[in-house]
Amino acid sequence: MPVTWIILAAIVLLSVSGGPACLLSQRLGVLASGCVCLGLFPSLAAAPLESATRAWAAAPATAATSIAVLVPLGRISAMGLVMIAALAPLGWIATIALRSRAVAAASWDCGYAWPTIRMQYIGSSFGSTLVDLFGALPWPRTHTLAIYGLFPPAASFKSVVADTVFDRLVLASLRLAGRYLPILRVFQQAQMQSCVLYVLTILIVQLVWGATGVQS
Amino acid sequence: MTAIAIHLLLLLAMPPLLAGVINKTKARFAGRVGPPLLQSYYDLIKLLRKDMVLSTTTTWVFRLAPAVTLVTAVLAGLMVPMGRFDAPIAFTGDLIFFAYLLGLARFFTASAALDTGSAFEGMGAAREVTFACLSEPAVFFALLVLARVSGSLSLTGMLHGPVGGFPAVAAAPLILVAIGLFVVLLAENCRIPVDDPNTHLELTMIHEVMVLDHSGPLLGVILYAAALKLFVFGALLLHVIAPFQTGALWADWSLFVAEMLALAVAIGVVESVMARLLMRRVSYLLTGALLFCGFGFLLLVR
Repeated sequence: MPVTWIILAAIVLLSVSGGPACLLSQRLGVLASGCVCLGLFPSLAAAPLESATRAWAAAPATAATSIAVLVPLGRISAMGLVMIAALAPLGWIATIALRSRAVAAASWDCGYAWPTIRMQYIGSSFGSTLVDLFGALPWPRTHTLAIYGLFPPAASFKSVVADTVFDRLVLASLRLAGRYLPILRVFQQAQMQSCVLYVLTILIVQLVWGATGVQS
Repeated sequence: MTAIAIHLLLLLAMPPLLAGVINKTKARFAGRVGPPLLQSYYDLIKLLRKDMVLSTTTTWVFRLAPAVTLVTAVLAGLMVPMGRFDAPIAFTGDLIFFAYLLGLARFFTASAALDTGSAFEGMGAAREVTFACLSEPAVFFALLVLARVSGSLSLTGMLHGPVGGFPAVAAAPLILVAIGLFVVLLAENCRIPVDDPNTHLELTMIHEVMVLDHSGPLLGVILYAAALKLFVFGALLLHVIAPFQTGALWADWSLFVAEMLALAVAIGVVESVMARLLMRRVSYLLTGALLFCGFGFLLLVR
């Protein structure tokens, strides 16, 4: 497979040589082209890779199964080419779409021209339908000041959706731990003799456990 | 190679025809002549030749989203086999890739809608992702059923089924999955009773409201991608409801095209005899689809 060797060597040489005159983008371009080439035609690299692995493993040429048998390299090439064939016309359409003349205007406003930040859709509004649908899980808390009369003097609405896992599970667990775990401090008061006593106790327990285990 | 070429040809050329068949069916039901079958092609060509109107609040996300939607739809279409023929792209675990391709398209469509800063389009994006929370698990359950029945983790293997056809024990789960997938097809492709692609009232729209600001070529790309998505879901569903084959190459391709057109007629009939559901009831319908697919899976693992 000399052709394969020549292609691989050319890619490597072109990407590392050229000196300062060769721009980084050009080197990266060569490397990227090589990657695309190998991605589309992996069978090109199979033969050199195979001979290298055989030389490294010191195995005879007939001992190991060929990579081309183990991996459907031809199918990978076919899939890549099909993908390119399918996406090429789309690229043409996208080029038309992106290059066509555009006229600047305001967003579709339905009466509210030039929307400001206060008019725009906020994250809370975006998630409200989800929160309503799965209300039992996020468990939103809303505070509403009901309006009354023809000209209500004040109205307010506040909705807080807590992070169910963090706020209601992790933080709540840590709060409980912070409240009750200090009780365990009675066992450990930074005294060396207490530590030695615990170690000794555990060793004795393990010895008894091991001894009973051996007998059984 | 011939099968791959025909697959590509059908995938890229046939989808707009489905919209024409659906519209023609609806027109016949309403006693009208209706637009020509090829009207969608004319519309696409017209849109591609027009200029665009871009909102001043939009960024590159707005322009990129239609391209991403189109590419993901084509890639998804290359992974779903048509009729008895293998898909051009197939590998173990491609069902996950397929599902996330559709998810990626949804993410970019919703992002483009939010990018406009319009409250209406944000509302549509919120509805879209809300209903996706129900339709995506339904699709996953359906794929799990097919994987369990066929013993394959590749879409091609799953949809072709085991050698000798699907076993009798899989009949009940497959019927449930077929019902669930049909509902998901209607929801994911903005068809009645979930959404109405012809409506012009922002407050009631889901998908259409998200693309209100797109115009000209960008709108054309979006409409084409939507047609592709309908085609892909249709090809997926046909494997469950009509896994027929004759054994002859051209007869099987013709059979697939006929089945796809029949499915478009069925969608047109559903749209003609049903009204749109209230928005709050759409979630009930999709929950029903999810339960159908979930029960199908439970029947298999019991």
